Amino acid sequence: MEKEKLDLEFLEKLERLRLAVKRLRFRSHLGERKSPKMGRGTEFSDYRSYQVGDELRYLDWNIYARFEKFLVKLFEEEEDVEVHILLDASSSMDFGTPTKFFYGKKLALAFSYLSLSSWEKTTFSYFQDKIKEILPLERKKENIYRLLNLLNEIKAEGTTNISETIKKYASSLKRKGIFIIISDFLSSEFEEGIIYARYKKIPVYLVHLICQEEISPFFSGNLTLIDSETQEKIDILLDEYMIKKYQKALENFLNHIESFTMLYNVEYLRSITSIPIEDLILKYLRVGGWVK
Amino acid sequence: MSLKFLNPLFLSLLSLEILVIILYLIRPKRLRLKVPSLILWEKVLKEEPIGRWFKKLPKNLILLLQILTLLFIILYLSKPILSFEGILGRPTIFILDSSASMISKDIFPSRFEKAKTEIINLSKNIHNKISLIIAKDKPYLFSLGKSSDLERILSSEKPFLGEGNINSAITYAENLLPKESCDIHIFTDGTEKLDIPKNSQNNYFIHVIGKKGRNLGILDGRIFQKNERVSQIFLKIGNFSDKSEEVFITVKENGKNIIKTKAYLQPKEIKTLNFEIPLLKGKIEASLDIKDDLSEDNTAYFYIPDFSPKILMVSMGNPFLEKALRSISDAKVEIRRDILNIDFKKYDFFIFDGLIPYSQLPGKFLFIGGYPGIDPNKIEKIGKVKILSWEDHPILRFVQLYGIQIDNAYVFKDEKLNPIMYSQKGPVGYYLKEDNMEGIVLSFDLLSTSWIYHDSFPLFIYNLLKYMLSYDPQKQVQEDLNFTGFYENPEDKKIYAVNLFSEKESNIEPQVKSQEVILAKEKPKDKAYINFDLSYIFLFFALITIIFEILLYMGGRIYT
Repeated sequence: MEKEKLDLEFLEKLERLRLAVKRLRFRSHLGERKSPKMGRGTEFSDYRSYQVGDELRYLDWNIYARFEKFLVKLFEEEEDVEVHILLDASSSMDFGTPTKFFYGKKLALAFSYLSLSSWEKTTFSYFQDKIKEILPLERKKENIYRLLNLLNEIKAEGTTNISETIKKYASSLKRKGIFIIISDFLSSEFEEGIIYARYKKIPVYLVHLICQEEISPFFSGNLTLIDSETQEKIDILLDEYMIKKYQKALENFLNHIESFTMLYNVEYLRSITSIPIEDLILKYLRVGGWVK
Repeated sequence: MSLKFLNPLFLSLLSLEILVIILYLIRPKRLRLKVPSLILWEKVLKEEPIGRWFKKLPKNLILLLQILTLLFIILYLSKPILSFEGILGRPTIFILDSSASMISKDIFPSRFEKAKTEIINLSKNIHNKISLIIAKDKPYLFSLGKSSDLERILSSEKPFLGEGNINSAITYAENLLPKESCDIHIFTDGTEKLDIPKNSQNNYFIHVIGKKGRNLGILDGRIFQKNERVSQIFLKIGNFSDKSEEVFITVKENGKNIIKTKAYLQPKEIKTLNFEIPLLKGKIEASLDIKDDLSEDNTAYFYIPDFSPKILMVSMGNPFLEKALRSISDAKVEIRRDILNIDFKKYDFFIFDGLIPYSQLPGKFLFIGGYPGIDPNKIEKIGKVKILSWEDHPILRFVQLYGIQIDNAYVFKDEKLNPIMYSQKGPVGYYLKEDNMEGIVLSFDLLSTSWIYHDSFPLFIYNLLKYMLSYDPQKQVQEDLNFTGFYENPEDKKIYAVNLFSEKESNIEPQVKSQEVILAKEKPKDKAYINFDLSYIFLFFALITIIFEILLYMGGRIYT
C-alpha cells in the first residue's frame, strides 16, 4: 500500500489532451430564446435570418451590401464550465491490484490536470458517507501539486453513501458544473443522488472502477465473508456453483448501471484496475470522446 | 410409568458426547475473508431459498444435531423399555383356518392372505399374550411373545391343501389356557360349521373371510379295470356356483389327450360321470377346463401301476408251484436250484421251496418248509394233519383250505410268526414280518399235500403276489404331502397320485357369518404393566437427525 504513491510523471503524457466536456454538454443557457446559439464567444459559428429583437450589432452588413439580406452572425458560446471531480474514498475502494482507490486517485489527478489544462474551473472532493474535503483548484495549473499532496494523504476508510453525498453536494452548488464521479458504486441506491443531479440539469460522468477479484473471486471453501465497510459477516460455502451465481449477480449489477446511465443520459465508463491508467486515458477515453 | 434399559451398558457410551463437544470446539475455524462489499453476495443468497431458510437456524445447530444423533443411537442400542400400568386385555388366541378352501381367490389375493393381513393388523393393538393356532387337518400351536413374531410366522405360512378341521382347533384353544378367560379370534372362510362350546369362559370373535365364489370341482374319482381291455373312469363333479355351468372335461394318459367331453351342471348339482376307454396305464389326469376361484380341485390325478413282478423261485423241483406262477400274466419267473450268488436287487419276490437261506434277507418271500434263522428247538413235528381254519387275511381271500390233508407237518413255536392257517394240531401257515423282510411261511412240503391239486392253490399264489407287490397309489393330501399331483416316494420309488377330493373344501360358499360370541362373564378388567419398546423410535429419530445433518451439509450452503 505504501508503494502506491502518486507522482506527476504520467501527466506529461496528457499534456496535449483536453477535457471534452464542453462539447458533450451543450446548449446555451445564456443565449436568448430566439437565438439560442448566439453566444458571447468570439468564434464564428453560423448565420441565420434577422428576427425582430435581434441586436443590430450582430447584423452582417457586408452580406446586406452584397445580397440585400439581413443575416445575423452566430458565435459559438464559450461558457465557463466548473468541473467537480468526486472520488469515493470508502473502504470498499481499497481492494485490487493496484487498489481501486489508487487507480481512482490517479484518475482524479488526470482528470483534474486535463480540466485545468482546458482552463476549466476545477474542484476536487473526496467522500465517504459524506463529503470529507473539498479542494478548489480554480483554474490554476500549479494547484495540481496541492491536489497531489492531498491525494497522497487520504486513505480509503469508512462507509460510503453516494446517494446522500451527491444530493448534498449538488444542492450546495451555486453555479452549475459537471460531475465526474469516480467510485466502485458498491453502495445501495446510489442512483437517487445521480437522478437528483440530473434533475438539477448537471451533466454527470460516472467512472466505475472494478478490480479483478470482484469479477472472479479467487477464494473458495467454507468462508466467513466480512464487509469491508460495515463489518457485517456472512458464512458461506463458496463452491463453483456459488461463484457462478455471484458472477451472474455481478453481471446483472453492471447491466443495471449501464441501463440506468442510458436512461438518465449519464456518461458511463467502466474500468478494471488492471488496465494501465495511461491506456485508459489515451485510448479508451479518447475513443469514448471524453478527451480530445 | 417407568423406563428401564435392557442393555444398560451401552449408556456408558454417553460419555462420547463430551468428545463430540471437544471435537466441535477444536475444529478448524472457517477462513475469514474481507470483501469490498456484501451487496452482491446478499443478492446471491437471496436467490437461494434453502440458504435463506438455513440462515435463520442457530449457528451451532450442527453440534446439536451431532449430539442428538449420538444420543439417539446410544438410546437405541441400550434398548429402552417404557412400562406403564394399563388395561392389559385378555390373552388372545388366533385360530387361522388353513383348509384348502382358504386358497380361493374370490378375495384378492386370496382368502388365506387376507386373513393373515387381518390377524397382523388386529394383533398390533393387543398387549397381552398372543397364541396362534393354525387349523390344518389337526391344530398346530405357536406361542408368541410379540406381534413381530406373529408376522414372521404368518409370512412363512402356506395354506394346507387338504381338508381342514377347525373344530379340533377350537377344542384345542379351549384347553390351551384353562384358567384364563381369553379372546379367541377365528379367521375362517366359514365353509365349516363351528362348534363353539356354550359353557366356555372365552369370548369368540368369528371373522369370516370370503364371499360367494364360483367353483366347480372334482369331488372324487376312481379308475377300475373292467376287463382285460377296458378301463372305467368314475368322476364325481360338483357345481357350487349359483348358476348352471357347462364345462369341458379332458382326460390325459401320460400327457396325451384321450377324452374330451362336456358336462352340464345345474346350480349346486353333484353328478357322477362314467367313461369307458381302452385299458389305462401310468399317469392319468382328468381336469375340468374352467377358471374358477379354487383351481386346486379342478384336476384329479390317478396312477395305474404296471404289475409285472420278477419272481425268483429256488426249488429242487415243484411243477405245481411253477405252473401257478407262470399262470400270472406279465409275471417273470426265474427258477434256481441253489441259493448261491443270488442278486437280490433283481427280483421283486422270492420263493424258497425247501432250500432256506440261513440268514435274513431283505424283500418279500414265500418260505416253504422253514424260514431263515429257524431255531430247531422251536420245531415240533405234528405229522399227518388236516387244515381246519384260517385267518381272514387278504392273501387267503376266496381260498378254500378246509379239509386239505398234509402228510407231514410241523409247528413252529416262534413268537415272531403270526399264524394264519390252522390244523387240528396247531398252526401250519404263518405271516412273518421282521425288519425289512416280509412273507409267508408254510411249515409243510407242498408236494406232500392235496392242496396243489385244488383251485385254491394258484389263487393263493396270485393273492400272495398281489398283496405283497401291488399298492394303492391313490392318496389324499396330508401334512407331509401338501400338494396335488404325482409324487414319487424316494424310499420305495413308487409313484402316488395325491388329490384334494373333498366336497367340504370344494364348496367354498361360507356357511356362517362374522359374529361375536360373548360367553365370558363380565369381570374386572385386569390391570398390568404394558411394555413399549422405545428403541425403534430412537432409531427413527437418529435417522431423522442424520438426514437433517446431511441436508445441512449438502443443501444448506450456508452452515456447514
